[in-house]
Order: sequence, then structure tokens, then C-alpha cells
Amino acid sequence: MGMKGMRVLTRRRVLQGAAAAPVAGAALLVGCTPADGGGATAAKLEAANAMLDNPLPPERLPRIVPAVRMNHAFFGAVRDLEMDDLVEPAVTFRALGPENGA
Amino acid sequence: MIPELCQLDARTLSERFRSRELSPVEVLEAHLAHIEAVDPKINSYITVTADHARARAAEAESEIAGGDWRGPLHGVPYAPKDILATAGILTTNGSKATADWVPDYESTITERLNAAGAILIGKLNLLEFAMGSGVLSGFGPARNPWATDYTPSGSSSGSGAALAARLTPLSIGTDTGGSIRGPAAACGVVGLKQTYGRVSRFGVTTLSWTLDHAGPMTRTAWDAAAMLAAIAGEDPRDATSAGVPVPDYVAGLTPEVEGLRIGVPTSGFYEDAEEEVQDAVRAAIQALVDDGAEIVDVGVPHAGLAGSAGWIVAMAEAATFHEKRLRDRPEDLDPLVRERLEVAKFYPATDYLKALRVRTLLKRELADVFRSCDVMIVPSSFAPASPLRSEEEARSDVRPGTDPDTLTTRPGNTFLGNMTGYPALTLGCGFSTEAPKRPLALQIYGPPFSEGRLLQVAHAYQERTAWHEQLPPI
Repeated sequence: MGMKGMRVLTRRRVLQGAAAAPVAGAALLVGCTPADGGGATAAKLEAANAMLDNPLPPERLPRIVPAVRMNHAFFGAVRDLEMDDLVEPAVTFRALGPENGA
Repeated sequence: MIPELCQLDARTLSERFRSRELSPVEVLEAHLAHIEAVDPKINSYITVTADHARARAAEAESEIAGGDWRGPLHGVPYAPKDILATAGILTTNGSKATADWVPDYESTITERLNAAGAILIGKLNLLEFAMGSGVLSGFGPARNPWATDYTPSGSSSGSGAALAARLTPLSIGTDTGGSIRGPAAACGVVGLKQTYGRVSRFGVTTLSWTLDHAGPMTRTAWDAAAMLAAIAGEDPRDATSAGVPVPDYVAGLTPEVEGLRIGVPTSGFYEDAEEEVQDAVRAAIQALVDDGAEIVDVGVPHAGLAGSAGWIVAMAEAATFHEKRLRDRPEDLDPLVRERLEVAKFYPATDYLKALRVRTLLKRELADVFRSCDVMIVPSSFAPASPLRSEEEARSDVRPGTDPDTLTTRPGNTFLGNMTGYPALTLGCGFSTEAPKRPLALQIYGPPFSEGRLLQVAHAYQERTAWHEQLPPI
């Protein structure tokens, strides 16, 4: 197995080793810190849950805090991407677009 | 030991049915016996439709004998991922939440396969609602026939495993971020995620309306071509299906590669793959170059964002689709699936729209790629199949956007096809040197509605190699 394979295994080991602190371990894997991810806390999620009229029971919220943080951090690359104003959302999705002569 | 009749691909079966050297009934019985003997070790089937299949096989035998031959799938067994609705037949979505669901309607895909004379032999295991992680099916994990302590990847896990174990010659998988191509790679079979709109999604339980694809999984490119020809085409019940004519995919399968322009990305697709994966993919490309193909350097600058942007789109749409289930009966879902849906309730609309803008960028960049080449070849997965994890381990992985099984697949390599809608085909191109022996695979991308070209290149490669003929040690 080559060096790159070793890196993959190391990632896996890190994840497995981080079972007791899943946020820290998982954050390490994507190059961010637990402080990233918008600083989600159970209290903030509770407020957002009420504001958005989400159906999630309050007792669920503390459990999903690590995943919310991870998602937020993972999306950072998308959120921070600067795009030309002419790039519009592919709202009505068609594989065959104008660039292909359709 | 795999029975000889189960080793035959659909093309061979079809030829022998037509010449009456073989009967659909005896081939079906061989498969049913093989499933009974081997599947307890593989767990690829959720439902076996033995009685239904026996009746259909007898009909097929009679029709073919009477000269009423419907085409190359007539009399050939198939088993779709159990996320395609089959009227009157259990359709579980791999979830305890829908473990008893018997639809009163038929998916367009299975309807068309049935009309082509293919015989439904059963329904195959999958990760829950096509978004469970690793081993998380409501029916226990499918296992990789090449090494039963290893994952067949997912989410079309049963499809990859059943094909490799010769428990069916034909399957249908679904692919929202790589769920056809991951199992095809891990199990060494062919998986085609065709152009978005090429095949109807009607009757396929939704994960993400704009990313979902359902397509052929087979052992050979020829079989995939025959299957795609049967299921492709516009469907008024799917507003996103495309009114693009369906070519004769089988007729286009020549072994010629002279003048084929193969795009090879100069960065972003190969670097994270294990060396033997890179070597196997580059050797496959070289085999085609030796026979007259040429290499063109290409680039997809934002390909690295396909995974994260794709995850936003997929989970936001999934949370919307499963809204009622999440509100009314969340305890029926696997804890991780439930958590993923709950988290998506907090995605801002602005993130979703930004992801859709990334989608536009990716489409533009791929369109640029195919101005200079006919196909683009990249690794399908970054490593061979990894060991099965425990359910607890799988549920502890809260990271978004990673391959749920292997932790080694860079989702951008497959998510790119879903985000752009461009077609991509995975097929085996070698085996690991490290024990246990596991398949390695490449992935061929093409421009929209170029499935014929992808299948032709895959066929040409399989004509030159014998990876797909190797049998797993079961």
C-alpha cells in the first residue's frame, strides 16, 4: 500500500479514535476546528427551532449539535466561494443546457 | 462454487434462449438455488419473488418457443434495488419505516423491464432510503462477495454484491452522489449513472429530486447497453425525463478506439487515490492509447466543491421529502438517517441556492472539458472496499459529504456527475495486491446523452481485458 493509502487509513483511525470526542475528531478531518461551524449550541438550535417552527422535539437538539457544526464547517467552502454575478442558480435543472446547444 | 448457468451474462443467456439451447425456466431455477445456497452469506436479497418469477419464466419460454421474442432481455432474470416500486410486491426502501409497504403502482423502470420480457427474481438490499451510512440497512448489511467481512459500498449495496456473486445477471441501482458507482467499483461490476432525464424516476423513492438517477448495474457493458435501451426514454409521469431519442445502444458497441480522445484531469481527481488505484486506471487508459486513443489534458477547477455543494442539495431535498415521516414517526428511522434529516432542517435557503450556483459552474466547466475530448477517465473510488464497520461505528460518523462506507471515496469524483447531470460509467480495471483480493475501478464521464459512447468505450475495454470474468471466492 502506498503513502496515499496510508493517509486514508490514518484518517479512518483518527475518526475511530475520536469516538469520545466526535466533533473534534471529525473537524480535524476536514481541516477545521470545533469553533468553526457557526458556533452552534443546543440553546441556539432551540431558538432557531422555535423560530423556524421546526417539528424537532427539544430533547433531540443537543444530540445533533456536533453534526450541525460539521455541516456548517463543511459548507464553508461553498459559502465562501466568490462567483461572478452572471452565475445563476441551476434552479430548473436540465442536464442539456444552452452550453450544449439546447 | 458458482453454478455454470449463473456465470453466464445476459447476452449469452439471451442468445442461448433464442437458439433454444437453454430455457429461461432452468436458468431461473439455477439462480433460485444459488440464492438459497449463497445469499445467507451475502445478504443481498431482501425479497425473493420465486413464485412470480417461475410463472414469468414459463411464459417467456413459451413465447420464445412460439417465435414471439421480445428482445435481448427476454427470459433473463433481474433484481432491482428495493427502492423501486413494484406493484403488489414488497418494497422496503431498506427501512423498517416502510418494511411492510406493498405499492399499488409500478415504477416506470420495472414496468419497462417487465415489458421487455425480463423476469423479476427479487428485490435487493440497500442502505436505508439510499442514505444510510455504511452498514445501516433495516435488513442488515449486504456483504462483499470478494471478501465477506468487507463492504460492497452503498447505497446500492445489494445490487453490487448480488451481481458479483452471480445471484442475478442484471440489476438496477440508484445514484444520488455515487450510489451506483460506489458498489460497482467495490464489487467489480458495471454501473451506469446515465444523464439526468435519460431514464424516468417515476416510482423510485426520492432521496433528492434533482440529484437522483436510477440506472443499470450489470457485469458487462453489453448487458448495460441492452438494459438501458429497455428503460430509457421520455415518461409523462416524470416531468424531468427528457424527450431525447433513444439510440440503439447495443448496435453501437464496437471494439474500436482509434481516434478516441480521452480527457485526463491534470489535478483534482487522482491525487488522493491509493497508488495501485491510480496505476490500474492509468494502465487501462494506456491499453486504449496503445490501440489508437489519445490523451488530452483537461481540468474541472471547481470539482472539489461537488461533494459539499452536492451534500447541501441532497440533504435539503431529502429533509423536505421525508418531512412528514420525520415529524410523525422519526423513531422508525435509523438514528443516523434521522439525524441527517434533522440537521438539514437548519440549512439556510441561501446555502441551498449557493450550491445551485456551484452547480451552474460545474456544468460550465464540464461542458468546456468535452469541447476537447470525447470522454474523461478518472478513478471511481480511491481505494478498494474497506472492512465492514459496526452499526455503532457507522452511526458515530457525523461528517457530511463523505462516502458512508469506505471513508476513502472523495465524493467529488462521483458527486460531479449528479451535480451536473452528466453521465458516468464505472467498471472494474484490476484487483488489489493486498489481501483480500478486491476490485479496483475506473469511471468514464461523457457529455449529456453520450451513454452510447461510454458503453462503447467500456465494451472496448472489456473486449481487451478479463477482469469482469473473474469469480469471487464464494
